[in-house]
Amino acid sequence: MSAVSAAAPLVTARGLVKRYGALTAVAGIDFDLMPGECFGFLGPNGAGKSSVIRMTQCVSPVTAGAITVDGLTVGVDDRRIKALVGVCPQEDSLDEDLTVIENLRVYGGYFGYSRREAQRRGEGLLEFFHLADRRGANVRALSGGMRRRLHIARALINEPRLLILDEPTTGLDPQARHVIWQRIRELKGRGVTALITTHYMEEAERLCDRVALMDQGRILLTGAPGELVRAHVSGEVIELIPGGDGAARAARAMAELGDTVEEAGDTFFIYTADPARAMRRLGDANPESLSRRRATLEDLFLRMTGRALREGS
Amino acid sequence: MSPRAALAVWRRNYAVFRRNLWASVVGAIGEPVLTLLIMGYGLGTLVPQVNGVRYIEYLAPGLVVVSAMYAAAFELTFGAYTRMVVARSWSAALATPVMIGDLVMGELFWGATKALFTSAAMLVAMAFVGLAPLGPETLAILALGAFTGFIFGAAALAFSAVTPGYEFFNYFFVLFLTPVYFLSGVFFPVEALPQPLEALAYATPATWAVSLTREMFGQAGMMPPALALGLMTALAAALAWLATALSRRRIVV
Repeated sequence: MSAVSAAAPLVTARGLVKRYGALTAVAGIDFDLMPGECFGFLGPNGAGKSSVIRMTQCVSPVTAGAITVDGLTVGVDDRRIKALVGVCPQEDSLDEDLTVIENLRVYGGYFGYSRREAQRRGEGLLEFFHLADRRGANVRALSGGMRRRLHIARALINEPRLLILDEPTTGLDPQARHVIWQRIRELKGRGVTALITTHYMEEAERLCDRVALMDQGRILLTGAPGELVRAHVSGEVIELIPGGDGAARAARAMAELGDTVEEAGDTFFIYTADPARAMRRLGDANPESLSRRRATLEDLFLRMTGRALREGS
Repeated sequence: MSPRAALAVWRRNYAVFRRNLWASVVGAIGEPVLTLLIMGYGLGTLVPQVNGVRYIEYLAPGLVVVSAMYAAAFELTFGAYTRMVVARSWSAALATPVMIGDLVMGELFWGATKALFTSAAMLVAMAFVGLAPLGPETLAILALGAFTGFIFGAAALAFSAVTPGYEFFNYFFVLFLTPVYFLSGVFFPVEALPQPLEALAYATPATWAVSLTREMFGQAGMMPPALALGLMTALAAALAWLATALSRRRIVV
């Protein structure tokens, strides 16, 4: 019995659709989230990531298809599901009228904890997130990084089976991001199951066991970040800016190499299996700028979704 | 609806209220107490008696319930709209086992609580000048204040759920609450109004509450108490339903 339940997914979505009037935000997706796994949804703005999250946490009704959390069905057992889930929202929702510890106490109250129990849990979380010395401060006095940590602390007050982090480090400076990543990795080490959305590829590579690449409401690819990169883009990427007079020669060189090439503005991206040869050949074209690097999830992502600017939500 | 979850929502508002207690006291009773004293003593010299009582005694009962009405209306317009839309307190709570129905009920009972608090403060202020009845009727007046607050709080929350922004609360206050206030029979008997306005006065919920509170102050009401209470109960149920439906429509998308 325990072996069976350990192998069962914690979250299962089948044919999941979300429409807002005429707009289709999620166009029928399937995914499974295994216990202990950190799963990331990657995508440009408007890809449908947040809609998936909002359906999973039972705050946005499912238009079609089904999603279950720990065997409970979203839309049926919402209150029970919400008791199992902790959410760190994308947009700031701390209570500006309350202190740091009061924020946790009130939030614990929403889970039905007594004032004392909520206080006990809150104090422990403030320790974990290095906020204990700010416990009596008004949240208005916190820095952006502290506020984000407090959001994550708040999301953990019910020791959730599933932790949802909706763009956990968007808008933070590099130091604050690294602190958050450390805390999330430590939570992972404790076996917390997490669902993350991000548009930072670096964040996904560092934190996620598996990622789903989303665009226009669909999942394009699912897999471990490293494996996806190996399977779908060549080992290295060369970035080339030809410069005015070398453009024709560079174009000829690229045609001879026969590698996949993408063009974005003045820059060419050459995905090559033989970077040494390509560097030599392209160097002959006397370009303005030429560099090589390992292919990353970002390259895969941009290849899948295109390099055009995304506007909208 | 889960009473426990609604109570948690109520407690969040109470925690904030406690921090700003004195500001709330001044905000809640400052204007009605001034109205009572200035109109009561000032206008009272010109209007010696209404329905057999001094003018200030005539003013007192109605001012208790209209101050309760305003307390709940302010709380569930500016206050609740801020929590619902601007500060995202609602969205934080909805990420927990709290459901939209719990939030609405927690807010409505919070509006009723502010109204109760305001009624109590008004009675204390009136007791200083010997205008408040002391006895079992005091409790009845407080309960009526809370109930009036529930009704106008529900109307306010329903409006908050559809308003695009703060400026639009002018519609609620100027086009709805102010006419209700002046037509409620607080300042003069509604029979004094021309026929169509008198009929309108009887159709407004504050008039029902003022009629009840007059009886509790030992004065003559404008309608049978059972009728007033029945109308208020029906309206409370209808507005609570409406506030819930409109809040759900705005928030659960």
